[in-house]
Amino acid sequence: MKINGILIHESDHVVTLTLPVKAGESVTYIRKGRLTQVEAIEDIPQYHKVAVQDIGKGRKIRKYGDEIGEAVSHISAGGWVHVHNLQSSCMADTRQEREETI
Amino acid sequence: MRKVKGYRRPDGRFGIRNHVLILPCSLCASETARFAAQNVEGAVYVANQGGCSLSRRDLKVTLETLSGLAANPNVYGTILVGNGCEVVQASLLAEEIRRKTCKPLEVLVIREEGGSLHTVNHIVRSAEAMRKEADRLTLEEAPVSELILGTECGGSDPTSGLAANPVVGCCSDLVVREGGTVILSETPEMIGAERILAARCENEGVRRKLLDTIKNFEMDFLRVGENPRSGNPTPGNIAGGITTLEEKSLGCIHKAGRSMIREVVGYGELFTQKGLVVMDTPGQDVASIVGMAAAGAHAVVFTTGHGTPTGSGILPVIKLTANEETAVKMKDNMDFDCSAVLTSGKDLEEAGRELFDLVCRVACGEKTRAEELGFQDVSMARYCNFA
Repeated sequence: MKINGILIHESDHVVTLTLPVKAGESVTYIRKGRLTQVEAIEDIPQYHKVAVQDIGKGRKIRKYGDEIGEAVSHISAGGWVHVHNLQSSCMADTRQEREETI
Repeated sequence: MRKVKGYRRPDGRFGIRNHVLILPCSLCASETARFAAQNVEGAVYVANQGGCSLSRRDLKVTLETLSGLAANPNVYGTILVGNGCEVVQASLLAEEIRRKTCKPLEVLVIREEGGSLHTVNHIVRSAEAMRKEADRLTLEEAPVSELILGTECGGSDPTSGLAANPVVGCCSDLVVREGGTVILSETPEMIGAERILAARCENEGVRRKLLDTIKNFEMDFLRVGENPRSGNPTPGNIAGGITTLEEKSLGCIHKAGRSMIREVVGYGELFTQKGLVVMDTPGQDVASIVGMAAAGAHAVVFTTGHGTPTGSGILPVIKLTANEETAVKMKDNMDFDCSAVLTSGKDLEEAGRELFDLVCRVACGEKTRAEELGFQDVSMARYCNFA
């Protein structure tokens, strides 16, 4: 079992791949000192994220122990998490909007 | 309790290096100062590209920075070199330095000395005498709680946010746990992570200052028609696996670890608190390091993906990478390889403890690669370029 994923914080919903995986291959990572696995349900490139649990639409997604945005659709465990299903929560585009958020 | 080794300064601060600093007040005095520094063994020099034609805001920043470099506890004493007509007058800067420290200081002005050659001779004589005095000091021990450690990232790639910065974060937590100080720098890297950082501020005053610092940085960009958020993460970041701005910024701010933020200061300003602190610096690595050196940082840990040679004459820059290829290719420039976190599942905390150990060794005198190479990069933050 070669380790090919890294879980940065225990509360994270995603693991980052250190090597690319194909659909059906295992992602192996360490959680609390133990080897843990999730099966990739699609092809995922190197350094991209895979969900290690089901993530419901609208839910905040955690990486680094903090929120990195929200799921715009349901994401199943083993799914690729990227721009197609994860959206930033801080992209206010105008100066006013930004002042309001700050 | 880990100890560090260094020198107790007359102003009470503790330094881990014992430099004699030759400090030009302005770009006009820089070459004369460099020529002298090359002729004194064991002297460091700051290549000052500024110091004249300054807006009022930049004059304040420049004085703060240059006086801070002289006051940095790694410096035994300073020989200040002015040309005579620059905005940063030698007498003005000397006054700022004396406000911060009572360490040895000598002031020379090229016009008063009668040109560069006379000045060089005078600097060399004074610097050699100062070097002799500095060498007479004996090494003392001090607890890690006296240590101020800066953090920086540059030449980043996916391995930076994924492993190198989290490893530094673990190391930062250890420094703070021992009562020491860690500086989080690079304001542009905080954009998008404001709320996360704000939630970690110790009180409302710190929280307000942090948010204002980030907002002001962004406003400076908006004022000249740029938006630091647009196009961020970059197409390269996205191809590399980064999805959102929060994610990118979190990867960067992870260097600071998970402690509470105790204070926020402007570029080059001194801190009054220990623990995790924040400095408003630009994203440019060298300018950011110089700002932290001016605040009295003893050393900087610098993560890099692609590899960078950066060093400083004032403080050791400890460079680490989690990129296996860079660790080999840029061996001359790298002090710590934590690629095993990605290649063989090495524990982040364990790598963080090893890095902390290296920081302590460097703080006991072990030289970094950049120090061995004698690299003394200098760049100072500047708001207005056409004053």
